[in-house]
Amino acid sequence: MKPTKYEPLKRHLEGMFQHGEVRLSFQEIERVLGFSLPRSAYEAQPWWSNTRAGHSQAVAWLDAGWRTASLDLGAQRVSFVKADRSGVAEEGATFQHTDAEAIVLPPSALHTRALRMIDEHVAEYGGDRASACVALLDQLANDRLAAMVDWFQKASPPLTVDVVDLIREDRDSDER
Amino acid sequence: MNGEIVLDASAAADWLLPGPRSAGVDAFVRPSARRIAPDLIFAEFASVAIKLVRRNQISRTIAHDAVRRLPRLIDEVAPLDTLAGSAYALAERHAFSAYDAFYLALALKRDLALVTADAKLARSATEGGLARHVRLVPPESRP
Repeated sequence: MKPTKYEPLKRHLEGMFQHGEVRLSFQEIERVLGFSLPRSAYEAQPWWSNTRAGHSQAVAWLDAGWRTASLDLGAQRVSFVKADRSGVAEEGATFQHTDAEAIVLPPSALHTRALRMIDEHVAEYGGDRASACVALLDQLANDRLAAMVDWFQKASPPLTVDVVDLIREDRDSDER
Repeated sequence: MNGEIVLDASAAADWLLPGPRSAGVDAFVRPSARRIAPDLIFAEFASVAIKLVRRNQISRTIAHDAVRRLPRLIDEVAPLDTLAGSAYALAERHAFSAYDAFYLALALKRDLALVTADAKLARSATEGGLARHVRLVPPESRP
């Protein structure tokens, strides 16, 4: 997945996982990003909305597990609060990640190779060790998913039956 | 990074099981930031898995593993009770099947695109003026 230009903001917020709320001035955000926010960020509240569609900036803070909570355009400040992150665990059980479930990784429990990998990530992409761990674990999750899909693709010979036809048998059952 | 998508059972089945559209589904779906599906997907996927076993297309072990691993493909599950009213209205207005309507209702509710391998669903959605909310995986997309 190609990072958006707001990736530095995502990494910054990921590294703030120990906080429940983060208040940032627009200038602080620009320092994190390394470029100026667009005029609409200074003038239009919708730019700060928690809407993913068409808003790469919102994708950055939502993917980091944060959402905007209050905005003061006059003072040029915005606050972010932690958003519960929901997903699906094995067997379809829903799980929720909340602040109280922060994961602590003592460096002494990590292999030297793992620590080196974390520090190399920090050196290459910036941020701190916490944000590097988040990024690396996300990448690992994506890699594991890709490996799982590849395994299933190779585990059976090519189907000679179209799965869509089988699914349509059920979907069209209310037309009979 | 692409945004969120709604995933249906046909795309999920083509993603996990080797068919002519598998590579195409992978290209459509893998880069998405988040994949959302109504919980109907678990029933439909289990149904297609058991049919494939009964037609000697896949082993019982593979089918069971695929059903068990399906949650890994999905980042958020939308409960059907939150979609039932709008799905019924869609089905009634556009003559969709109720099953199709649940996926489309979720795509409309979230203002997202539904990724499907089901040409009939995509055609019905397009005829119903919902083309913006559906993306059909090409029928033959081997690499």
